[in-house]
Amino acid sequence: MAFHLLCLALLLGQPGNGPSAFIDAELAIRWQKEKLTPAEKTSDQEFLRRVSLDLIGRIPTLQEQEAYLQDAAKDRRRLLVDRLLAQDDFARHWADKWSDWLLGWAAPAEAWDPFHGWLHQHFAKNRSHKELAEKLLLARGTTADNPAVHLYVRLRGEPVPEKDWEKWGQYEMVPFTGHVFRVFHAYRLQCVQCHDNPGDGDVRQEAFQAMNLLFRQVRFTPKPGAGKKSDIEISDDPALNKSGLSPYERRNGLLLFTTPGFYGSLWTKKTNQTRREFFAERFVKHADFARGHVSLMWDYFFGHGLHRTLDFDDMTPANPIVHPKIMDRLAAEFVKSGHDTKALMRWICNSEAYGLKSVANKSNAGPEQAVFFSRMQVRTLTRRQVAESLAVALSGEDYLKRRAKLRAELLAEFTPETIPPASHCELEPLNPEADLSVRQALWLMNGSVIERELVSPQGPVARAVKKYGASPEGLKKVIPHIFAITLGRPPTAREMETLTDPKTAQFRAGKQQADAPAFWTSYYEDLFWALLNSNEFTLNH
Amino acid sequence: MLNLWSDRKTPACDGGTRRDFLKAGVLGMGGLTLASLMRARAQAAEAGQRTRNTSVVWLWLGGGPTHVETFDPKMSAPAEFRSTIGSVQTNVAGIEIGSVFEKMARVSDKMAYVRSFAHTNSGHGGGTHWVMTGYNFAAADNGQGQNKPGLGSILARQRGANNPETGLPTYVRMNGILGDGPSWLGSAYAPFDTGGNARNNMNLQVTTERLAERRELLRSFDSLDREVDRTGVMAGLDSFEGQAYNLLLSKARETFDITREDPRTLDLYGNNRLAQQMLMARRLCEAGVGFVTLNYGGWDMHGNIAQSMRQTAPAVDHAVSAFVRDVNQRGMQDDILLVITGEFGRTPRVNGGAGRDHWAPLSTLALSGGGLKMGQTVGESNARAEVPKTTPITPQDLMATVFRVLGIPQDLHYNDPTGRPTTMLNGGRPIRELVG
Repeated sequence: MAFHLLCLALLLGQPGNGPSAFIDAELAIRWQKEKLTPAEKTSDQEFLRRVSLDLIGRIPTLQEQEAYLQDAAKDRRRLLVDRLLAQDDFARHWADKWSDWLLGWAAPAEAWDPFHGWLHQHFAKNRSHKELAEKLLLARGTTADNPAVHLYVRLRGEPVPEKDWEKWGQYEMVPFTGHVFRVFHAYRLQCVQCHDNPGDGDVRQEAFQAMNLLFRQVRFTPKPGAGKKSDIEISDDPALNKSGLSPYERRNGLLLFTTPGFYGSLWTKKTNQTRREFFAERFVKHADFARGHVSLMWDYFFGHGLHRTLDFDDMTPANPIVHPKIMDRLAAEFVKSGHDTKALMRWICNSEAYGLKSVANKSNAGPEQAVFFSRMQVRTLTRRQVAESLAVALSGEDYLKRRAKLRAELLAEFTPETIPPASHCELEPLNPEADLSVRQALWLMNGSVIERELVSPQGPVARAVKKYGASPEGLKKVIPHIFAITLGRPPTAREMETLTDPKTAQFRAGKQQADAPAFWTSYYEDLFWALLNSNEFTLNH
Repeated sequence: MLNLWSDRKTPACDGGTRRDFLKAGVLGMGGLTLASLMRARAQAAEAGQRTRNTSVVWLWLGGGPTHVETFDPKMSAPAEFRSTIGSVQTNVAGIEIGSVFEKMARVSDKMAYVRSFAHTNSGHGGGTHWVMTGYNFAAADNGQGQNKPGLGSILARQRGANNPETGLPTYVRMNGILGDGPSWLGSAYAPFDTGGNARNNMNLQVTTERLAERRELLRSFDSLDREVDRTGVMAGLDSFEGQAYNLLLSKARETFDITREDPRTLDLYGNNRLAQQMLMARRLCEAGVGFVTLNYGGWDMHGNIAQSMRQTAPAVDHAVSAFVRDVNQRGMQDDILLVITGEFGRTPRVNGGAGRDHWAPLSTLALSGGGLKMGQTVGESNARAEVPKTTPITPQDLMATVFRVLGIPQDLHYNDPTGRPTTMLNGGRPIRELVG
């Protein structure tokens, strides 16, 4: 019997001891210990919407919904995950994510766009996560030839006066040092540049300064580029920061000096590597490189990191990892896979925990239970996810043709809030993440692009009118159609009843021409508007 | 939650409102319906009562503005301590301020400079948290999020997120500041941020009647089970939707449009970006906004402070003096309080790089209007502008003063996420010299 089960598991491609099964087994133990009842399994429609938003950054089209629901395979969820991972939309979405994570959404288009294109290639070819880090850390050449260079340019920080280049290097490089740790090691190293973290024996202020020195020999040379634009070339120049020294001030005012190094291993002039090479080699080998990525991905897919607090990048002793075994196993498998990001995503998305509903039961409703993952957290969508999903909903069959322009128009109407950095020791704070606010609501309720599409003769409403007619009979077919387009599910019986009830607000409003097609068309528009403005549309649940 | 880059939400060493948002324990009013909004306005009008309209404009000099070169030049101190840029005599006998504030010097009879403002956290995160919320929070320097509500959010909770009469938000932010969020008061009381294209989206696309019908329709079905989520995400969304709706029905768009201002007033403020934001702040306050935060950064002057001051300060000098003149010309000096402050002051002794480093034991604070007593300095620093010589005035005292001006009861309290009634103030007293 056990043998048969094992064979079945192998056939399904999910051996009982694979990473997905391991996640589930570990969580099951925790649930028992914490007396948590897991949520129910998602419906197929819920799962399709969730995993599409997560992997390809948008809601599924009608065709994609049909294809999935008609798939008779027993493991169609697994097949779906594979299909999504292979889509070009996957590469586009993850290029979105990483462009925002690395450069920030507010980066100028001349940096963001080529950088995004470069990342798109990276994900389309499924290059390893290690390669991504190395290509960024060791980037050389001009911004025109090698878009990876933009990361250095964007995060080089304060310039040093030219007379001091030999002493301190060309730029302070503080944001760069801090940010690569945050993104790749899930550690807010930038916070220790001014002071040690309390209770943190490992990373100290000196370590930050020593690592920062490893970037002080990066030279930025402006080059005349195409047209009026000026490119920047990056190279290594031993004439910068020649002494390899950097002063830093303790908070008590004590002035100390440090030399280049990576967590205690020192770079010297005899080292047979440039400072950056020295850094990159150690950076990707360090245990936090794999663990950091697991932390980041887990947080992304579950809406809560593996440790106590919400944030994925707060790996200090004060914030213990709640599921150390999952962290260790996934990190080890990730290294074994050759730092294959898609493999890691596959393990997570194929776990049963990922496929649980977000509906709480009595045992797991509180925020403090979130870290046990006995239900999916309700997650907010980023503005890019919302914009791309709006493009799907508004353009219908023309999605492929119209998506790029529509998405750009929609995004131009809504930019997230920003806060300027308070001081030199902070990264420029930007937020590409969900910008849930009154401003998002204004955009969805009253943005001109959405309204234009709703009333356009080529728009979703006109199309529905053409197909089903603008009449009370048409309404009965239009409602399920609009629900499928926007929410990826059929209306409930109650919703159907409410929306077709002549007493519904629209009908009560004293409309005289309730039989006129114009009336029904405007009702369809309002219906579409209402669904796009529903919480269900703007959340991943 | 995932938050690599962030806005106010997680600037580097600060935690953020994203977490505030998710932790939001208490969420108040969802949206008003058109009918209830109209009813509230009608009732207010019938009762003949103007909604309480005192406001605060909070000008934040982000980075930690030097207390010396701004409003306590201390020219009697030794050279390495006193203002590196000298001082200017104001129009109030005996009061000098930093030399670059020439225009403010001429309206100083309408200003008050506090020279004993002090706390003890010299970190950007912690210092900001203290001044913005009235409470120290050391962990803010280590990446922890705001754990107390900011002043503007407290007012939004107390007055409601929108002004019932005009529909405008109670709390508006022009550039974010760490610690300006609602923390556990709930995301419904977050500031309305004017950035991005928010203002364009206030151009109504359909008639107000149609918008109302659509909203009724949206509310007629429950598209997502509220039980799904008790973290506040959904309640927050509902509240945002309601606030957006109120904005669309209000005169918000006109209010945000400073070109509708009298040309002479526009001239007074000029082309200076900060000044235009302050003009907008005044327009907003007139229209019922209660709290406006404005961040004007660049004050972390570790090196060559004299040069930095000459670059950074003139815009403030111009904008503040224009604002003070304008408010007084309109006779609104009792209705609007301007607060100028930052996370801390700077080291009294100039450092080796001709700059000054972080120094909370003496911090920067100036005020104008709010019905407070102007044309004075409050408190006094010691001979080298190192610490207060008189009783220190704390962020709590500033908070209590702001409460007084805004008509917020000094004992205002709300239940924190554990259900414990928590007073907003803790020991702060309105600054005696100002409130008389």
